[in-house]
Amino acid sequence: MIEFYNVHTKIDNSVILNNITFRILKGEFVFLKGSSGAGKSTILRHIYMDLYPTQGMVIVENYSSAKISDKEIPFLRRKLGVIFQDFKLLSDRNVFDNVAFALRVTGAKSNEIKRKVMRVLTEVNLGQKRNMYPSELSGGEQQRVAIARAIINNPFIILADEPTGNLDTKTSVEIMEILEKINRQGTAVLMATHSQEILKKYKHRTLTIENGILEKE
Amino acid sequence: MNFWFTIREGFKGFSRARLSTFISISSIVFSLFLISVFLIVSLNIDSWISQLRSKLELEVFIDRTKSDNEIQLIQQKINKINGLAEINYISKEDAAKRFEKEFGQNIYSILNSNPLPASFVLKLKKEHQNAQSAQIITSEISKIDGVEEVIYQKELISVIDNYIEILYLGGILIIVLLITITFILLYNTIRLTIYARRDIIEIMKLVGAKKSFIKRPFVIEGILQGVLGAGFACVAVYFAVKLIIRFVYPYLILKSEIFAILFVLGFLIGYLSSWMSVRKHLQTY
Ligand SMILES: Nc1ncnc2c1ncn2[C@@H]1O[C@H](COP(=O)(O)OP(=O)(O)OP(=O)(O)O)[C@@H](O)[C@H]1O
Ligand SMILES: [Mg+2]
Repeated sequence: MIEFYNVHTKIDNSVILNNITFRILKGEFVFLKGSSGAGKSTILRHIYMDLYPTQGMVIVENYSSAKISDKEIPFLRRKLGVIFQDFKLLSDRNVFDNVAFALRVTGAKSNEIKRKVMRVLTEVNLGQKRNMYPSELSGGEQQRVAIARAIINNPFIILADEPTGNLDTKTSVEIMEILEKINRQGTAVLMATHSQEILKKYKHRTLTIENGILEKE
Repeated sequence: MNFWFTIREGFKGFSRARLSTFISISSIVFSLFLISVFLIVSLNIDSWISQLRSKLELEVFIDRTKSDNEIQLIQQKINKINGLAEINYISKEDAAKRFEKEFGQNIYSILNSNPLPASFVLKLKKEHQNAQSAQIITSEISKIDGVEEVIYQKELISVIDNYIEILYLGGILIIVLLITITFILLYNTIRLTIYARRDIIEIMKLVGAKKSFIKRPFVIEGILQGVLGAGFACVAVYFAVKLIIRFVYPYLILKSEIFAILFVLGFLIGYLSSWMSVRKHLQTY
């Protein structure tokens, strides 16, 4: 599924990741914990191959950081769903089109788009709000739109970079419940967080990273 | 679907970098307009000059003492020379008639005899209607025994030849300069649009859009700007020409090819500048 083999990564001569090795299995739910600047986002970026190791190797499904070509990257990313603290929605289009965006860029047919978008919006409980714009939604709702967009291509894993970082406790729980539900349906989740509350409430395997070094599990 | 999505995204670029879009379209309109002014001017000068050139005649005066038979021989020799389109014989009698027509007086009544020489009036083939060819042909004819003198409007033809080149060269330089400026402006507009749309580019990358798919809307946008600019320029040229014909110079020639040239130029400038800008500024992975 996802494997890090002795990953060392330097950016501008400073060591960001230091000898990281771990593996995430099919359908797992894994937390990635660590203080600010520890390297959580950097690990996620290696998985969607926005960044490559200086040494070592990252393997995601049948793609390897050592061998992947520019042409293959879009196809790797279509197998991943990524969500962020700041949602990254497009403010110039409504909920439906934000979600449909992920299908349109793959050249999907419009009847297929309509069917799939309605299905994932129902999944995150936003069917009613499909014509609203991101600015008209609450933070939790915006993150649900982002989740809908992330799952529309049936990814094998959701990469979540502090998805509850901008949300209050109640809304965070809402988002966590959706991620849990998606995970129960078979999709793996790798979620970076430093919220003790969430880590206490949801018991999953946890990777701890500090200063670019992975602590022993 | 894919196609319309791309077109729609291309148009959205317009509203993102509104000011620079406006500036680059204006500059396209402006330079294409100037280019067509140049084209129209040269088109008109060209047709005027080729009229002038086609009027170019060599007059070959024959030695007065030559008999009709000898003159026929001379004509045969002239006939062999390359580059002549037409040979007309003007006999002494014809010359006298011409004289009377031009000056209103019979030459015999003034001089009692006809001193006018017989001559040939030669027209040159189109490709030889220039100073150099006229010079060569003249010197060849001059060598023929019995030919006294060859005359033609030497100054006029060499002035045309010398200055036209400078005029065209200057015009072409200006055109190249204008195209370059327009190109740079458009290139920069696309750069700004790319910057203004970095959010959507980031998301496209995240959700797995292919490189070409991400780039295409920006290239489409460049082409739209180029073609739109060409459209405006055509309208401006059309009305400007109408006004000039109406109020200034009724003989102005305008060919529809000029509009085609403007569209092709607009398209090419738009396409190439945006393509280069995208290549340079849109690092996809
Ligand atoms: N593009 C970059 N250039 C230079 N340094 C970078 C870059 N990206 C990340 N870093 C550095 O790498 C380290 C890890 O960053 P990263 O974003 O992975 O941390 P994080 O664990 O996600 O932190 P946070 O919880 O604040 O999001 C930090 O020290 C950061 O300064
Ligand atoms: Mg981070």
